[in-house]
Amino acid sequence: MSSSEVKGRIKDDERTTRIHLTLFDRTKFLLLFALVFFILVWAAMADNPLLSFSDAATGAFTKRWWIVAIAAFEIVRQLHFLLAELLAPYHGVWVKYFALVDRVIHKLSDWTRYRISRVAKVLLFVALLAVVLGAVYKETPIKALFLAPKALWSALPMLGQLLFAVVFILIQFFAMFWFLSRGGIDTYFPDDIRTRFSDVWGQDHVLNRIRENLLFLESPEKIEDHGGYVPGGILLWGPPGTGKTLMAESIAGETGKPFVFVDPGAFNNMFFGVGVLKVKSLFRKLRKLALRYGGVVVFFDEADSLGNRGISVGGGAARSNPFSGACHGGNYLSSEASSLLAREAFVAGTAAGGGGGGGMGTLQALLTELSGLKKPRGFFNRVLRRALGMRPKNPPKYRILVVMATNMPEALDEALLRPGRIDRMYRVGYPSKAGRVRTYEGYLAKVSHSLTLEEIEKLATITPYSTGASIKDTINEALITAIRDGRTSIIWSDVIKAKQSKDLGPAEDVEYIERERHAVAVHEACHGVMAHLIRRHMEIDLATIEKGSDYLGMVASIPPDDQFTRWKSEYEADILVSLASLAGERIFFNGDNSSGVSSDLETATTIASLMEGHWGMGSTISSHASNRRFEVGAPGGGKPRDAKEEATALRRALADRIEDNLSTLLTKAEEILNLNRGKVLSLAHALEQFKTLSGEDVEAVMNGGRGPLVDGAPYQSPENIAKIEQYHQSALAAHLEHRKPELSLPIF
Amino acid sequence: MRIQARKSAFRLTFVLASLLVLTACAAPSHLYAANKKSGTYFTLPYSWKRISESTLTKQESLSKATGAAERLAAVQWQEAYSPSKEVSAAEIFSLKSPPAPAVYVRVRALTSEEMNSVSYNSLRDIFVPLTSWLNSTSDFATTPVPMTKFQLLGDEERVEKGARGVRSIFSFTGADGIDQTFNQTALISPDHSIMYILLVRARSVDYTKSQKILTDISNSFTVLGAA
Repeated sequence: MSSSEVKGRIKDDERTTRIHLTLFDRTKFLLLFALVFFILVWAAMADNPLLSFSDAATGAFTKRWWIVAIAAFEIVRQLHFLLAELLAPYHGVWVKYFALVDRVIHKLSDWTRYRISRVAKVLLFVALLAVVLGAVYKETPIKALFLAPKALWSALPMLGQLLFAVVFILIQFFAMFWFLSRGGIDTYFPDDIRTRFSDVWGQDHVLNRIRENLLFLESPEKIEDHGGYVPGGILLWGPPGTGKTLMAESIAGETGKPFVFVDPGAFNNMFFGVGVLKVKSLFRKLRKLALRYGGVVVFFDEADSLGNRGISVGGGAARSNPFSGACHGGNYLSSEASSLLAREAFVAGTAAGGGGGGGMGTLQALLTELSGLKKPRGFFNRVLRRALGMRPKNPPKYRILVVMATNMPEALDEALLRPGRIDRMYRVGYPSKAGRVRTYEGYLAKVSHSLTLEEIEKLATITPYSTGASIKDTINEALITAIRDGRTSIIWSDVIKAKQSKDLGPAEDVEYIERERHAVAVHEACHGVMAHLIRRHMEIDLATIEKGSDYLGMVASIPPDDQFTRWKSEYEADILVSLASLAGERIFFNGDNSSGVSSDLETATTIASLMEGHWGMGSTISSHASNRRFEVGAPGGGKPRDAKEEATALRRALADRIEDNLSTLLTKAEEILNLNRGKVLSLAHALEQFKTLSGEDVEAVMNGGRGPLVDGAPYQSPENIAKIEQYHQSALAAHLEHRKPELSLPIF
Repeated sequence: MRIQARKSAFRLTFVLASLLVLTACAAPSHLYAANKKSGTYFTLPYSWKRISESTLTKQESLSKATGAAERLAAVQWQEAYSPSKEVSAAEIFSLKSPPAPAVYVRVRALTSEEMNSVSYNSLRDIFVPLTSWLNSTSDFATTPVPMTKFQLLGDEERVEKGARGVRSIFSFTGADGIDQTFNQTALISPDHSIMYILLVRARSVDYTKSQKILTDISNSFTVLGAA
């Protein structure tokens, strides 16, 4: 069979004649009328025993002339269809006529047409009812229409009793389902909400995109006239507190269209099917609003509650801190490293399955509704028109803008995110420095304060991953601190105190015994010195040995700039900072080391594994992610540099290479710490003395400058260093013998 | 396949359409007089004219006879038919010979007194004192219902589903001197509460001329009784 023989179904606009009707479709109404006619004849004959069939038929014919009229009309209609099926010119004329009628009708707005058709349908129904009741009561239709309610009213008590008896259980179910399918969906009309785009700070890039979407919703012809369509769905995803909901609120405030807010729990139900009913009623409402107001915005908060069937979005979203234990490793890592670690833990552990959410068909119903907006709907349109041999009309354009917000995009179903359902995905990330400055300014403007612009900028710099919510909280905490001190105006130290209390949590007021205090101080000092000496992409924010709820001490760092790419040298520096604690403890405690290094090692190993296996920062090129997926196993050693190495190099397993890399870096860390022994002990001394140091204080100890708390000058003096060394030796001896050190902490 | 379907569609449409058209052109063959409530039916030629119940009631209410008003109140249905417009309600209630054949139907509830005394003979005597005429040889020319040349043409029992009684066919010459024929059917319900009467009458000349039609009318009288 050649390809030219294969014919597809003719396209609609290529058809010159009407589609052929089947025999049944052509005759069904005539058969129906004939049936009705014969029933009438039979009824008449049953009424009068003398009546002959022919007289009954004649009588029925004259008395029920309308049935004949309708049948005649049906014959004419079928003839018209038949002609349109056989004669192309005849069909063409009608097509043109209907196109004209359609154009004329479409001059009315969708909403007006919808209302008119609704009124027409109601009138038709009432007219039919009147005719039927008229026949029942043997009265004029109009009078019968008034008699019927009266009869119904008088029969109501009995009907009610009957109904109650028969559908007692059904009534309960209906009532329950009805009540259960209420709630969770709120509609706001323009001007109900006062939030505007100008109230959302630090997310201008996202706002600009959303503004574009709204513009298309407000004047769709801008894009529709050129063959495009209004993007119907936006997903806002990002960490918690970055302003997704506020953004949605501002959309509600900005738009001139109704705004429907869907609660995260709206689709969680006790019974199967209620969620589906809710979705259907929600979209019925949306379509109505869209017609009435020319558009509607619907917002699904915490869209992850809708449920999922797998992980879909690439790229990380949440910055979570999975760390806990002796040393707060997560704080001296950059956010990306932390985030990656979080993801690794996520993938390895908890997030294997999907699940949760509305479930029980709710998600599927939502998917269908989202993509099913362009199908013909309605009983009259689909069933009645089809029964009459007419094609259902296409629905008007429902302009519905779906906005979803989530901080777990991985938890959303993949099908939900396809273009056509969700056309645009915007990451509402941590605000940039400029955004943070703007946000601080915004919240500070609401309180009395004496912060200068420089101070605000500095504040924005030292709070890199703060969100709108956390900034608001910090300013409020600062205000509480100020009020506690008897002031009503916030000063710089209030903000810093607030920030530290937010970062570190409340100190536990635990006093270490001296030798343990020294050990913790040395541990943190090793991190601090290493970070100060070799890490350039991060600055130390603070170092502390005050015990918190889940750490003994910490060195927290922040990036000085917003940075989006990461380098091998930076990761190596991260690993060195992590390993510094182990290296340092071994150096300063004669090869001993505490379990407090566990999380540091975990951090270092994870980063080293990713460098070796994923980021091309090791001796091999292939990605372990792909290797694992394709189950090909990890490659051996890298490309040999020379023939000699080729001859001797053994192909090593991935784990061995990671271990080797870590060993090399540990040796390097030991070398660096050995060279800076004095600095480590100095920083440990300062930590023991002051418990918590700011970044500037650490800097002062290292360089002999002056920090807000610490004067670094004494640490430049060899005598003082010697005194500190003596104290360390005494503490070391006490550590080995588990007793109190002989020397107390020297004070300069 | 499609062409065949189209052909059969054509055929069916044609048949249905022609059936409808043919039925529309035809006129009914008979006039069906019926009172569903009392279950009384009979047929007449389609061209006959009806004298409505209200006209008859009006005419009957003029009567001065004793118990006339009471009897009228007990009437459930009465109608009269004639092929000619010349026959009026007055002529229906009169013993004068009608200018054209006439049919009178009457369904009436009986009073308790009547219920106790009703018999086939009382049914025969419903319009004229038929039993007296039958059983006596005396002259009836000067009685309240004057009669000469009486002739009984038939007398039989009729049993219907909802009533039983007698049909009497007889001719006589009344006060106007014109010979006329009565074909009267008088039935009574099993509980003696309702009386069904059909009177077909005409001048004897006309009766002979239209005997088949008039006999058919009389024979079509069907009483199913009250539903």
